[in-house]
Amino acid sequence: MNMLSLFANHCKGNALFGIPSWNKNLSYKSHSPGGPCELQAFELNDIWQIALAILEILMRLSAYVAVAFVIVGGIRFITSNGSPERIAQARSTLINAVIGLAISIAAVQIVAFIARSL
Amino acid sequence: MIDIKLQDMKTQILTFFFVLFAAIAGWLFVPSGAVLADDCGAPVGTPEYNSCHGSPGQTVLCAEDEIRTSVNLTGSSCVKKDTGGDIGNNPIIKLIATIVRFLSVGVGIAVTISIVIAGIQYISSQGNPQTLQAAQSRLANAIIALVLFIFMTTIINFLIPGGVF
Repeated sequence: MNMLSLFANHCKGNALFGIPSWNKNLSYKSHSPGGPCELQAFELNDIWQIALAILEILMRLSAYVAVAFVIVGGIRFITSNGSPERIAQARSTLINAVIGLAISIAAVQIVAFIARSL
Repeated sequence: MIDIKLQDMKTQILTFFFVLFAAIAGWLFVPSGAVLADDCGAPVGTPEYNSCHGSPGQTVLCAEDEIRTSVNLTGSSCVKKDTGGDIGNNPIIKLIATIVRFLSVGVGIAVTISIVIAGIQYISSQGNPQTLQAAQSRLANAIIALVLFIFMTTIINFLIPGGVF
């Protein structure tokens, strides 16, 4: 790794709450620390690098959303007042949050498994 | 006035694409003819040219490993038989391989993104049957798309003797 790409650490943006920026997989160079950024050779295949970054953003987002909906399900359980329908709804909220999180985490493995076994 | 300008822009864009298409078509079709005309290295009409190509209307005898091309206006000629060994050097096969290699990366990422979105839909369904149904159909469609793409590559591999990938 040369010095130009070492200077370019600031070019890829900061991760907000652990969610990366969309250009984290692109290669930049900069001539001084904190200086202006130059995109190194951009090829056609680099749009898949952007798509991979978007995939990573979505996977982290799904984890945050799952945590939020587990909390929502818990609050619904608390405020159900013993009513059977509301308890059933709270339970399905919780179960669906966990199932959806499992689907999101397993997405890469699902695609790899199908592509390998066919 | 604005409509007329928009119309002009449309015409210009259409013309641009037409010229682009014509240029690509010309690039695809011209070189093969140029190579066929020049592979003797002799001007048209000279005895060397006729002994190489055969005079118009005549046919030439070819060697064992050669095959005669169809009779054209300047006579027929002999080319090497295609043994199928160097099919990887065919520009069309190379183009197909490049496109499929480019698309297979994209299809993998797109299907993964679709499955993750289905998971987010599942998470936020809160037991609502309609949202649940939408999430399940998105998941199923993503997997169907992946399977169809894999079948497509398999069929291309089957159609081309020797295989592309």
